Amino acid sequence: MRRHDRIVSLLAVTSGEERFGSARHRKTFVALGLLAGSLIITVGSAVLYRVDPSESDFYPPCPFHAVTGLYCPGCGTTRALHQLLHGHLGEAFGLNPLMILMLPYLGYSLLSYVMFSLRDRALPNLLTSPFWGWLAFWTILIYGVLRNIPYPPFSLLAP
Amino acid sequence: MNFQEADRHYDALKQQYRSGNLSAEQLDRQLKELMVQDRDGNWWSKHEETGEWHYYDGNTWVQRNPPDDEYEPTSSREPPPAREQPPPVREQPPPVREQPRVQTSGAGGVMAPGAAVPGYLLPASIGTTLLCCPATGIVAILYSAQARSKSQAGNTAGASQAIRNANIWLLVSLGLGVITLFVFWVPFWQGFFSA
Repeated sequence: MRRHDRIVSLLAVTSGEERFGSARHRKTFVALGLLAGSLIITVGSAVLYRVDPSESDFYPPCPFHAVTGLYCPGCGTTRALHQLLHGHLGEAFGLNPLMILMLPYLGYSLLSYVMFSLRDRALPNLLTSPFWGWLAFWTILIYGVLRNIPYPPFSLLAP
Repeated sequence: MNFQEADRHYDALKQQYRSGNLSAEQLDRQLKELMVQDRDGNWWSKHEETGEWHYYDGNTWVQRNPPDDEYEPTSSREPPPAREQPPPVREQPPPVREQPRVQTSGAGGVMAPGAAVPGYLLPASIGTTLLCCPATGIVAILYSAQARSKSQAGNTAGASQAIRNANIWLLVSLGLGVITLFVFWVPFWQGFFSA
C-alpha cells in the first residue's frame, strides 16, 4: 500500500520535501518537467498549426471512435485547437464547444499549479465548491451522450 | 480515538490538503480537534506540520512519543475520566517558533495568507478526459468530484479513498492515452520503418 501511495501521489508534486528531500530538489524536478512539457507543447503546436487534422491522416486516430463509431466528449479537440491556432474561434467552437469553454479554466489551473510548485505562491482558488465538481461531471457525461444524437439542435454539438 | 486512528486521520487530512480539497483554515481547524487521551488522562496532539506527537503537561505542549503500550488499538473504550475538559487549543510548541503562524506549503516555502494548495485533481481529470482518454477519464472526474464533496462534508476517510481512486484512474487514462498515441499512430510507424 505504501509503494502504491508513492506512485499515485507522484502527481502531487506539491507534497514537498517528504518526497524529494528538499525544496530545491522538488523545484528542480518541477522545472525539468515544465521544460519538457513546454517543449512538447511548442513542437506540438507548431505541427498542429501546419497540418490540418480535417484534411490529413497524419494524426493518430481515436480508438474510442474507431471501436464504437460514437463521438466522445473530446472528439474534435485536435481540429478545434488547429482552428484556434489560426484564430478561427467560430469554427473552433463549432467543432467542440465544451472544450473551448473549458480551456480558460484548464489554463488557469495549470498556471496556478505550476506557480505553486515553483514559487509557493498560489493564485486564488476559483470554483472550488463541490457544486462545480459535480456540474463538470454531469455536463461532460451528458454532453458526450447528446452529441451523438443526429438531429438538431444536438447535432450542433458534434464535430 | 486512539493514537493509531489519530495518525491515520492526520495522514488523510494532509492528503486532502495536498490535493487541494481542503483549505488551510479547514485543515488547521480539524487538526486542532485531533486530540487523544492516554490512560493517565494526559492529552496528546500532533504538530500540524511535522506530525510529531506532543502531550500537554498542564502548562505547555511537550514533544514526546506516545507510550509504547498505548500505541496498540485499545480493546475497551475507557469512559471519559474525571479530568476536566481538554486544555485550550494550543499555540505552537514554544521553542520552535516565536513569530505568528504563517501558511506554509509543506515545502519550506511561504504562501500568501489564505491561499490554499491549488486542486489539481479536477482540472487534470477534465483535461485527460477531453484530450486523452474519455472512457476512463470520466471515472477520474467522478472520483475527483466525490473527493471534493466528501472533503467539504468532513468525511475524511471517504475523501482519502476518493482521492486515491481519482489518482489511479487519472494515471490509467494518461497511460492509455500515451499507448494510443504510439501504438495506433500509423504514419509515425510507417515513417519509422521506411527511414
